[in-house]
Amino acid sequence: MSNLAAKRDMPRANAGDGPVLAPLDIGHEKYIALVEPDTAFWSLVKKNRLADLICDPAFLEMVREHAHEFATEMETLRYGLTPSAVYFNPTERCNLNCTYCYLPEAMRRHGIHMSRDDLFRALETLRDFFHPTMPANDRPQVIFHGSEPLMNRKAIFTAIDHFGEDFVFGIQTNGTLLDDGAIEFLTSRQVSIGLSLDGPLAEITDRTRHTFSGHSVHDRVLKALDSLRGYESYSVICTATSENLEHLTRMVELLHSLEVPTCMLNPVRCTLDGGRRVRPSDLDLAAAYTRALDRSYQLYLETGRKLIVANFANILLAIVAPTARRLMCDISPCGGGRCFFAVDAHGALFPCSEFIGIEGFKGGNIFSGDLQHCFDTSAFRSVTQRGVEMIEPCEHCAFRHFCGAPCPAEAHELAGDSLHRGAFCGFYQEQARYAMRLIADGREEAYLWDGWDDDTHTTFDLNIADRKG
Amino acid sequence: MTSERPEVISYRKTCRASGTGLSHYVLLTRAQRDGSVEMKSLEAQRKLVDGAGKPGAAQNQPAREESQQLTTTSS
Repeated sequence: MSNLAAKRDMPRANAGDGPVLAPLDIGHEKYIALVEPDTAFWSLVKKNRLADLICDPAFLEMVREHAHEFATEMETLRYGLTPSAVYFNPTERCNLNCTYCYLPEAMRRHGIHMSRDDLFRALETLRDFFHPTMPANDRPQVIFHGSEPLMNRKAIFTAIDHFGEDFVFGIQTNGTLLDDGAIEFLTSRQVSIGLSLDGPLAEITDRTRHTFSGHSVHDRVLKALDSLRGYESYSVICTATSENLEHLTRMVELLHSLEVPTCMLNPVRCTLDGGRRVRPSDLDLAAAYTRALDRSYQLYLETGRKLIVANFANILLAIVAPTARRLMCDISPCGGGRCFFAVDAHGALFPCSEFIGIEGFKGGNIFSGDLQHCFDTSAFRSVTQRGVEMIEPCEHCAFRHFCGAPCPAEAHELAGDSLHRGAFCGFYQEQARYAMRLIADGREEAYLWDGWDDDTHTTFDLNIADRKG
Repeated sequence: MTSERPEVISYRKTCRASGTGLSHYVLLTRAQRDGSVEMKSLEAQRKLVDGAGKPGAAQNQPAREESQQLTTTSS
């Protein structure tokens, strides 16, 4: 081959069949990111080397060689998975009236409990549904969710005992009914437990989480958390709102001191009016959130013990190991209706529990033989086919596969159509920048749980490639 | 720390995708899910621990003291 021919075949960034590489300011003193948005390939390069790297044929050839592999990986992650979990509401009722709840108040006040017999019938149907598609030695998950699932405690505890060989069970509870008997029952059966608490002090939590009559539940949840100390599989959700932003750092300190293994500091979902009323600005949220993350890192250095902030860990994973994500909100299409789905207390099927109460997203009923059919309904397909490429301005955003434009339910209720971005676009951008700054500084392992990469293998490592070259 | 870092950093890992979490609930470890790690009940774990009877106490005494302060303040 002549030199001229060789030069013609040489990849050029952002031209022809060369890789599309977008430079991104990540707010780091020394590094800038280069991202191939379609495949979520990323590299961090010292700012004074950017021009050299983007013109470096060896680097560009490496990126091009891996492009198909990365694209296939993303395609499988986005469109090739089958459901393996169900979020199951065994009751419509809740004993709390949290200001931002995404479920209608009338439902939570006056709704029904699913009967024990109906719960068993539904779980039998789910067992049969999951059986053909689950990998060997793996079991589908059933997460009892709410409203408050422990309002229907007898039925779900009976079901956990009866179906213990068929499912891995979890429960998300507000913690107020989690007495010693419940804790012993759930932990002895290895049920994963999620609780909710919004502040380090009662006066903060009470702003958003309280009973219908306005009474505080903060201390009861703290007592449950203290009783769970040492259990390996529980987590705490703290919903970040305008009411508790300035206390997120203190919240991290409290949860770490209680030896909570995992928490989420979730931006409030703005699906209903209540959430919108306590919506913080993206800028304020990002500042408070990253301060809290900084504090979790300091506490790790001081004690050697991690408090994993799972929603942030998931953004890190979206960058360094996209398929290792545990949360499926920050990928598009989101996990709703394809990795998991939701069943309400009447047996109605929804892509995700966030849609419960929104009639247009009901895909059928588990008691009507609609389970397989629901995945082909427009209710489900409008979620399972919602790619960031269909959303303005996400289609042009280099962060699009690190964020996924969550959430379709929120977008639908905010904008009247799920083909819009949800709330907090600026916050999600800042999360990705913060994650990349950590990677630039070599600190990402401190934010991920031990053993996170035990089942992974490396498909790209520039240092190794350099040595080979 | 950054002064010792490479001029270019880039890596990627992969595995079988099995994420099922959402913003209302998360289960992080695959091992807990597929049963390859057998978790102990709280009661069983407490029997393993000396003294205070709670698992973190022996390994993290300073954190326990901090916790008691915060918990007391909060209640």
